[in-house]
Amino acid sequence: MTDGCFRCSSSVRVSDSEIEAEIRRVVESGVPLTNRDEYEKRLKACYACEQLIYATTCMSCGCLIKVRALNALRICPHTSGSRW
Amino acid sequence: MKAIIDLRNKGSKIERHIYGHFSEHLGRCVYGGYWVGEDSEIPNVRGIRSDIVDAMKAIKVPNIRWPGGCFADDYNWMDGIGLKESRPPMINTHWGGVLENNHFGTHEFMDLCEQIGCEPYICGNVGSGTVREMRSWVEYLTDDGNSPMAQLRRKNGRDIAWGIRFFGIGNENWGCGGFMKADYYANEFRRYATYVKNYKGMGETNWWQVPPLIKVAGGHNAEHLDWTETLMREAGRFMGGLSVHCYVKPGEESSGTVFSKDSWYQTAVNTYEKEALFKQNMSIMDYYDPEKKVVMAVDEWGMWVDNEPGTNNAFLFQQNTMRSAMSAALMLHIFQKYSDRIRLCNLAQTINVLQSIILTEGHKMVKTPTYHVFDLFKGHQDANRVPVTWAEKPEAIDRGLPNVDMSASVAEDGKAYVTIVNLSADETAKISLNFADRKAEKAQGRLISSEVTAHNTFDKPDEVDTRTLDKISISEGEVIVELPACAIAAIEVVLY
Repeated sequence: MTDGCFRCSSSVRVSDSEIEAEIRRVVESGVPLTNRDEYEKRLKACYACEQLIYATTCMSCGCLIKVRALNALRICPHTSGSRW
Repeated sequence: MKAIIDLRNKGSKIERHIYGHFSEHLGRCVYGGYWVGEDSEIPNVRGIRSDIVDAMKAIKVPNIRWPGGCFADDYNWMDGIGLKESRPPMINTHWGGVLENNHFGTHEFMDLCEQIGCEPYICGNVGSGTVREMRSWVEYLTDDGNSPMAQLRRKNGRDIAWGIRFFGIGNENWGCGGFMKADYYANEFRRYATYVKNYKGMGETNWWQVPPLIKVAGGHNAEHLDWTETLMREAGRFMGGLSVHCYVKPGEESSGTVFSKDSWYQTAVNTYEKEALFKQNMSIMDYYDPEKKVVMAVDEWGMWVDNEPGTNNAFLFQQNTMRSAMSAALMLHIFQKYSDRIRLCNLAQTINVLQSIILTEGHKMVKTPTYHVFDLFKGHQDANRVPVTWAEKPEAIDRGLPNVDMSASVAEDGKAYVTIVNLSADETAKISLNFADRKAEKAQGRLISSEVTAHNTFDKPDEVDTRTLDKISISEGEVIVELPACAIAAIEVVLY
């Protein structure tokens, strides 16, 4: 799939600026956001989770944790129940 | 409009293998998709997720292509056998530098196929492998005798060889599979293919009576006819199949879920355009192989839209909508139309990657609109194609598209099977199906229909789902169908 594909060369290592752009998108979308305490609590759970890979991504859903945790409507998809 | 479906014009068999799927070690297709591991809380059989297996059985998935894709030409199968804790990891260099732990290897893939009840289509490594590696893999898979590879397989817990029919000799060797020139790859194909033999039954009968494997040569994207020409000229007589890849893009509105009706119509145009490319490839194949022994294998196809926002881009996690379902249905109609040559196809890439039929998030699983297309189309599997002609033609709509696209087949039991796409995003379509010298006795149908952007999410998994087609009747032996806008339907007709 190397010809004409959009992102064959993408790395799983996502840069801070890419994550910031995604965070801005969530903020501008108007979805309810988690408050600061809740956001930090969620991220703390993510950083302690065995499903976290590359320090950025949840293997249970493919989401960037800093982006998913910001959306108050989203839940933690861990198979043994939400860790948020 | 009125379609004539004359069963006396029964054409070639629609090989069930055109409804196959492609699963690469990429993103969360295998790990986080099929493979959850034996210790997972998600119900599984030997580490393979059971709800996925059940869903794939329900649509009669006929084959799965594995392990790639680009990954295939970087994969050493020997790293994926034996005790899991002893398997060496590798870096998946083609797909984001992911660490691959090789826990899903040959035994796990063959187990997956056995659980689903489908055939494996394994793609070997030409780009970075050796002839001996490939030869050994096939021996491991197919030899029931006492060869070194059969003994190694037994040591790893499998006595009877699985047996395979389809084997790919590399993938996209013009690009990620080694950046080879066509004539160089043609030579490489001939060399590798010489040693890819079916060992199953070899010691019990004369070697020439052992069914040969269908060896598929790595092809190019459909527009690169020079590759097809060189491969057919230089290696056509050694092939069972020639791969052609085909991805459809939706035009400027590339979001997976946010787009206008304009993109719906443009996607239909972009899908139809692939037919001309297939025909050009097939005319080259016909020149070198007029008896159509060589299968055209569209073993990577599907829509390619933007990755879902907020996900890791290297995972290629994409949603799919009624637009994707429509494109898939049109493409399957094209495959069915050329069923004498197109006999092996694989939608990319089954679970959580590109145009998936299934999405997962933790323990949740969602069937996409594209899944339902394969459900609707399963009645065509191994039936014989019947050409559709028009007594009253479909209307021209946006961009000159017909408002209706249709394909028909007749099964061994004599029932006719018709799939119809209403390409209009706004208007219903009323269609009469006339069966020439036969009369319809009973007709029933199912469909999916919704807004063009409709899709299934983990919160609303059944937004697009199959339902009974209510507006169907029989009048003077003809089936009368009224389809809502933006719909895909399957109709089964009993005739007398």
